[in-house]
Parts: sequence; structure tokens; C-alpha cells
Amino acid sequence: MTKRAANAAKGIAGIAVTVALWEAARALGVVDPRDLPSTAAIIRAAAEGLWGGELARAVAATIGSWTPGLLLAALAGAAGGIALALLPRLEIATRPVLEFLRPIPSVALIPVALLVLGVGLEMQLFMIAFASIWPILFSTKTGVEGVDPRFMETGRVLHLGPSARIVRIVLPAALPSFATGLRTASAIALVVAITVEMLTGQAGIGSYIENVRLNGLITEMWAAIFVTGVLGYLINTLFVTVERAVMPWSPENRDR
Amino acid sequence: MTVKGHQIAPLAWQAATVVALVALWQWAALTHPAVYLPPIGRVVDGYIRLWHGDLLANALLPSLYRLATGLLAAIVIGCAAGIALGSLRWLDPWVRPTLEYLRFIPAVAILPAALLVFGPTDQMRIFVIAFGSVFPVLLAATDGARRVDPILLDVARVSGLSTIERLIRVVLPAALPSVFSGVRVALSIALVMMVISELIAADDGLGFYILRNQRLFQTANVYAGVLTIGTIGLVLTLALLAIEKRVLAWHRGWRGLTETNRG
Repeated sequence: MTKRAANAAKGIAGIAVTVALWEAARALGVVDPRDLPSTAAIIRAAAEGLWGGELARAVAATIGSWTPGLLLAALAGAAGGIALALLPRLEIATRPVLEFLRPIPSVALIPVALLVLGVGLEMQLFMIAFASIWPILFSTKTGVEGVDPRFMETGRVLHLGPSARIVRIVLPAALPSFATGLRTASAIALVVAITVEMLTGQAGIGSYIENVRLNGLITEMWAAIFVTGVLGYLINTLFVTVERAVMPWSPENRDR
Repeated sequence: MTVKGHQIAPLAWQAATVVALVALWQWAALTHPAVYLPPIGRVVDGYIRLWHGDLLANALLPSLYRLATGLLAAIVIGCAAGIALGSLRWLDPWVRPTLEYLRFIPAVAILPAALLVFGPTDQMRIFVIAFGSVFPVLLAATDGARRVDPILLDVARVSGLSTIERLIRVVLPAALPSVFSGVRVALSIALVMMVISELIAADDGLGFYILRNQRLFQTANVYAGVLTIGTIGLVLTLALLAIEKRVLAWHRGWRGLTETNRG
């Protein structure tokens, strides 16, 4: 316990040093101090923006498109991953298409999505889902392929039908790798949501940051960036916590 | 090991899928002309045009330069910091919370700040690419350095190697397998950040090229640009795998040996 307290103190000291470096960069003029407001001013701006301000609405709007986009990717990715793992013929036939699409960074397709769907929530949701489906699809597939064949044989011996085998054996066994893919996807979804907002002016963190920058509200811009970091951190923590609590059988948790 | 005859059927299936999709696209493009459905020939033309002449100099090369410089910076900084962090255990509690926070800032969000500080320059784009891709390298290098066999370090110490020599000659090679997996992740992030930085603030590069052609409704060029970016990603990934195979040839045998010894 004392060691934990000591480590926490060191961590806080490390953050304090980072803040001090920031202030030093301002004071010494390494970067134009007008571009680099003081940390106190940034924290104040973040608090004001979040307390019923415009920043709070921007964060809510981003979460509002991030959630359904990721949900869509989770459903389609899980279904696709299971299908590819259980139907070898489908996997073989679609492999060239998947290998063709995989190296293309999804953000490069934003202009294509703009052409086909135009500006709006629909296009944003499509881009979020399209970008974040890949880690979910491939890790679910790996998870299903890794199901111990003895489990499947046991299921067969117990006269479980194919659908019962999928629900009671394949899904629980593949859930941990699905969850890992979902966690990776959650970060990608956030990046794509913000990028689309920056490019199209769709309400959210991305357009908020661009607007305050263009209006010269530098402190507000930095506040929004650091709030976005907190959001990314909280999302990851949420996923890790849920994974630990819900899936005690996951290999990541087995040793604990 | 499958018999040769067994591999022909899957290949035929794959060829059939590809041919069917291409044919479907072409049929749709010819019978239902739409802005977003250009005939395949025009996409191919646009793709070829991107690989030589003016477009090579104004779109492909600037992008490649930014990608390579940013990724290289991320690899060098990530390796150096990661190996220091992994070897000097006492350092970890001091910097870990700061790192754990910084790495969750989506790199796109940093872009406007970089634009403010650096202006719409290549420095800004390289900074954003490096910022996005440094963390996977750094974390992988830390992890690799931490797992170095303590016996190797003891041997190095007994042989009279200084700390710096130990880090470069013992820890770095031992951490390489982990570093390579980090670089693979970093490569895909760097590519994404390259595109984003050119979509939002650039007047050349592939990202700018596809966005401008989208605004001009030159859809075939948009697809050609997307395919070119995909090609870069694919070629760099394959190149990385080839380098990895060469550099880490010793690793596979070495690992096999120690694993059998430990039984």
C-alpha cells in the first residue's frame, strides 16, 4: 500500500514536471506564448466549457455519433467474424476483397463517402462504422478459430444443434478477443468521428476545435484538446474495466 | 501441407469473386451512370497518372516524404525513450501516468494546435504523423526492454560493458521483436495521420489530391488516389515484414532453443 502511495506520488510529480516544462517553454519563448496559454488558464477554460458550456455540447455530440457508429461496427464485425471463421468457403472467396480493403486507411474514403452520402450524420456514422469494423472483424474471427475443438466435440456429444453450439460455446469462447478488437475499434472510431467533424463541420469536438482556432480562442482550443484526451482515456478505462468484470474467463484475466 | 490439387479450387473461387465484382462494377457503371460510379478504365488511367510526371511530384512524393520522415522520427524517439524506460525501472512510476494520458489524445485533435504553432508547413504534418505513431513504438520498446533475460544483462555487466553499451548491444537487440510489432501498428497510424493532415491542411500530397478531385466531382481520380494510398500501405507493410524476417532471423532459432531448454 505504501509502495502504491509512493508510486502515485511519483506519477503526480511526473505530471507536475510536464506542466513545469510547459510553463518554461512559455516563459523562455521557445514557442510564441500567445500560442501556448498558461496551464491554469487552460484548466479554467476546460471547466467553464464543460460546465454547461459549448464544449460540453460538442463532447455530447461526438459521443452521440461515436456510440451508434461503434455499435453498428460491433454487430456487423462480430457477425462477419463468426461467419468467416465457421464457413471456410466464404472466407476463401472473400479473402482477396478483404486483403484489398485492409491496407486502405479508412479516412482516405471520407471524400468518397462525401460523394455518395453527402454531408450529414448518415455519412459520419457510415465512416465511423466502416473504419472501426476491421479490428472487430479480424479479432472475432481469430477468437472463433481459436475455440478449443474439444469444446465443440463436447457440444456435439451433448447433442447441441449448430445454433446452440454457436450461442453456448463459440460466443463465450470468442468474446474476449471480440472485446479486445472492440477496444481498439473504440479509439479508431473516436479519431474518425473527430476527423469527419473537422472536415464537414458536423457538430462535435472536431468542428468545435476548428471553430475556436479560427476565431483565435487559443485557450479554448487547448482546453478542448486536453478534454478530448481525457475522453479517450475514459473510454479505454471503461472498456478495460467492463472486460475484467464481465469476462473472468478471458485469458487476460485467468491468472489473476 | 496440402496437396497441390487442393489449392487450385480456392484460387479459382477467389479469382471468380474478383472477376464477378469487377464485372458487376463495370456493368453498373455503364448502365447506371452515377457520379460515384466511374468506369474502371478511368480509375486505372488515374492510378497510372499518379505514378509519374507532375502528379508523382505534386501528390505522391510529398506524401511519401512526410510519411517516411514522421514515421522515422517516431521509430527513433519511440525506441530510445522506450528502451530507457524499460531498462531503468525506477523511471517508470515517474513518467507512466503522463504517458498513459498523452497516448489517449487522438492525434487528429492535436492537429489544429500543431497548425497554430507550426503553420501549414511540412513540419506540422510530420509532427502530427510522429505524434500519432510514436506511442505504439514506445510502449512496445518498453515492453521488450523489460523482458530482457536478466542473465544476458549480468553477462554484459561482468564483461565490463558500460550502461550505454549494454543498452545498445544487449537490450536493443533483445527488444527488437517487440519493437517490430509496434512499428507495424505505427505504420498504419502514420498512414492515417498523413491522409488526415493533408485533407485538413495542405496544398499538395495525396490527401489534398483526393479531396480536390472530390470537390471537382472527378470521382475516378478520387478512387485512384485512394488506391494509391492503399498501395503505399501494402508495399510498406510487405517491406517491413521482409526487413523483420532478415533482422530477426536469429530470434526464431534462439527462442526455440531457450524454450526447449526450459522444457
